[in-house]
Amino acid sequence: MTGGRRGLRFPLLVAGLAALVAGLFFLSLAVGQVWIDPVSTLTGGSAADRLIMAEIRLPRALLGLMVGAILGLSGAVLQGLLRNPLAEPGLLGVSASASLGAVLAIHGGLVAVHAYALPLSALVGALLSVVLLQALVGRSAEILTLILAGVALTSLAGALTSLVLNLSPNPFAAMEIVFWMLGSLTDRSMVHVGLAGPFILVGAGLLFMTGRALEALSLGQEVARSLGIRMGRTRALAVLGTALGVGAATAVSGAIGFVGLIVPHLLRPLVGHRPGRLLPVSALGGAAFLLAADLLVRVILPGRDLKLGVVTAIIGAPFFLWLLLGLKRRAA
Amino acid sequence: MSGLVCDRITVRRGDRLTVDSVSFAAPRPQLIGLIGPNGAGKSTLMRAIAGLLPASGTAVWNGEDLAAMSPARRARALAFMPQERMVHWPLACRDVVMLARLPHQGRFAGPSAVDRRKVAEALAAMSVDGFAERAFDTLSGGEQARVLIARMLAQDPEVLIADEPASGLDPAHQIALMQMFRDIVAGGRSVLVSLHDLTLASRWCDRLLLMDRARLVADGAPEEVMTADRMARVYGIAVRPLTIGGGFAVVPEGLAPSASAQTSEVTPIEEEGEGNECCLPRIA
Amino acid sequence: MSSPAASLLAAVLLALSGAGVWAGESAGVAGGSGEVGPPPERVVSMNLCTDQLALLVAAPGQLRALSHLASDETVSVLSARARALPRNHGLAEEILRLDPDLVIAGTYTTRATVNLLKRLGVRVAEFAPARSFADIRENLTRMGALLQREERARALAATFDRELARLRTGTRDTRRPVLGSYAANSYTTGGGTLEAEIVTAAGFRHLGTELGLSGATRLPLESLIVANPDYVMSWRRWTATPARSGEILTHPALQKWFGPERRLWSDDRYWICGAPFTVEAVAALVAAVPGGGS
Repeated sequence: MTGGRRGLRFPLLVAGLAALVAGLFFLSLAVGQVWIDPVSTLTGGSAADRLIMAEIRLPRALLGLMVGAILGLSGAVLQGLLRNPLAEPGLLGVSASASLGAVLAIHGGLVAVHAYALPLSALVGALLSVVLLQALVGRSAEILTLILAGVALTSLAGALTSLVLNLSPNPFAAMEIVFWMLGSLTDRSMVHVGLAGPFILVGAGLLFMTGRALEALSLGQEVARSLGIRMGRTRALAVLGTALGVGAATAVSGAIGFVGLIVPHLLRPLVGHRPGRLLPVSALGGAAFLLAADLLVRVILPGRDLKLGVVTAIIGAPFFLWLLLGLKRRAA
Repeated sequence: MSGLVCDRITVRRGDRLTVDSVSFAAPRPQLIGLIGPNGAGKSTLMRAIAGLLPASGTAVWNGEDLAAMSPARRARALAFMPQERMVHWPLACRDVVMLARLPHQGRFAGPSAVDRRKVAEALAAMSVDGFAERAFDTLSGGEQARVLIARMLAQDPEVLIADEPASGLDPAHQIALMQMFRDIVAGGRSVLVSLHDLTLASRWCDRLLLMDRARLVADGAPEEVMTADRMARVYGIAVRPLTIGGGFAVVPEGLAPSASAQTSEVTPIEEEGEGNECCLPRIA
Repeated sequence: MSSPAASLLAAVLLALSGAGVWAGESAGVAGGSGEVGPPPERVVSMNLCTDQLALLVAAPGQLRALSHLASDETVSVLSARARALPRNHGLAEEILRLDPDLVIAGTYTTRATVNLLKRLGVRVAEFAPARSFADIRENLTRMGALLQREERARALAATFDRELARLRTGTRDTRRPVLGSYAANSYTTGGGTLEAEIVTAAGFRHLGTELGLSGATRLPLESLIVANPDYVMSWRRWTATPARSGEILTHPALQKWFGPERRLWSDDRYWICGAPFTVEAVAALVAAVPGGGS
């Protein structure tokens, strides 16, 4: 994978991915219980079609776009920061902790006080998990420690989420466990876009600001610092950006795993393995991946609300194992 | 005061001093060799000067405290190359060298024409321009070392600090490297370089700093520093002074007879080969 | 599935679903119903629906304990009366300690406990959830026989039938509007269920039946809008406590398309269990849309 060919021309790659995202976005609007031509609803079409387009499919497609982008982007940033291709918000327990935060906000009644309590509480959950992760792993950032700490965090957050939902007097709360652990974009509304959108945008902005530092970090922390990179600032940007973006995304879509793992890994060779250039393409790739997965969900089992995380995990988990094997071979 | 001036640089690790009040001044551009046995504190001293370690004392460049400079300003004044030769992703060599230009670029600006020229020059200077597009991890150890040196050159700093840049290079490239350092000094910059090869150090450096157990024990021209007596005491070896082409050089001959007992613990220098195994110099 | 919420959920889903036909009915009673002995005096019920049925039929003092849900006012119609009695959580230990001479359970919930009790020789009667008005009458009759309160059961069944008949004569028969139920997590109910019968009895056509659905099924919001029933009915109490699953009921698309005049909110308690009070559910629907679509 590291021959003489050093990847596609960058602008071409970005344009291609953007076109792919646009196409999938359009399809996402068109595909549902019935096929609706999105363009025709702009000018005419039945009232029901227009409503379905504007209030059900558009928010779903927008969320697929934003959530996928932030998951891909944060995966690329975490991998660059930790110089570890296995880092990903889902695997590190960030998503599960955000879920816990969101569940606490809903069932603790905070959401009733103010709607923004939902993304904020998820954000706090995500932030705490990253801080805890750093405390657990320390400065070593060794692969095994990191992944195991992530596993522990994920199970802990998952267990607490189940506990909260089981204690809820609402008979349907227990059914939510699946949503929070596997994620879904079904029947979301513009309200959710409004709740998560601003946080995801700000989070993405912070994450993009780490690009230069991640490039320099290819040469290790010391050289990066000697190149004028402020490590503390970089770490803070990555942590805050991930917490904001992934926290808000999880608050409205549940924990969707593996996007941040698969997407950067597939795209890395196409940008000559440059961690900074990987950021925009991972955001686009993440959006494309999640939009495609969400389309798949609708096409395979329409009406059954197959969870998005099921699809991403079915693709992602074998991929993860394959990555592990690759790392083991390289270490041997 | 102009040039590089270090005043009582001290680094403490736990309750142990790893660099103990080292002072020296280099008012003129010089090629300064930093020598000393393993664990003497060479790497730590270089990191302290480069502002990568908390240290007491001051390192001043042209009257400006290096530690007080903004990271970006310091990155334009001083380049550092650690002993570990590591690039975390299989980047193309040109991209590796281009990283050196980060301190010269605006936040979201791409590489300028100047950046590209500096990178091309650095690649050519280390004769790695032939595989500029190849991935770093496909190169041999020596080639990797040269690419990383090119990275340091492309940073275009006023002071270069390199930890064991010559280790793992074949003799021709070692000599080319030292020659290039001399050219850099002739161009008005200062180079501080740690070396294990005493012949190389004595042959090419203007000045040597000899460290032993965290302290600076000798500072001066190679012939002043590398006395047989001092080499036996610090390294536990016998050296033979030579005159090559009108210049001074030493060749290690063998272990010093009187010191053989105490030096049995010293790691043989040759083992510190390709250097990615992290032979931090503070192993007891 | 031992938490209160989980067992409540099971009760709710069962009531909504018509899935499965309970073949275990006849085999349900250990000892057989033909037996003539003294009436049972220490009866324990372990299921919200049997709790309420037993409360209605039993003589004073005959019941020893009811399930904890019976006294939960959000799901139980008879919560006030149930509170006078001790409550159990469907655990074998607490049931045995009550030394019952008859245990009444549902066919779906607390299976492990029921099996254990049977093995230990406790007399257990199992009731399937009522999926129709006929089931309600049958369950009533059977409860009357078990508790030897046949007279009381007959009277309840007669009142039930009389009320139903009265409501039916009052309902429209010209244009029957379509009513679809929509619950948390986008669930609706298909045909062949108690819900379908209640809705039909109230003079509506039942959306789930018309769409050919069966049991409790997810109906995507898009499909609900396309199906476009005249009324969308949801249950109020289950969504009173905050949960993500209830969000769908306030989805902007749902609210814009149907508008408040086409949304009906029912009292969940009358829908969970088939019992004589099920007639109240019919009455409430009739009252909510008087005269139907005219």
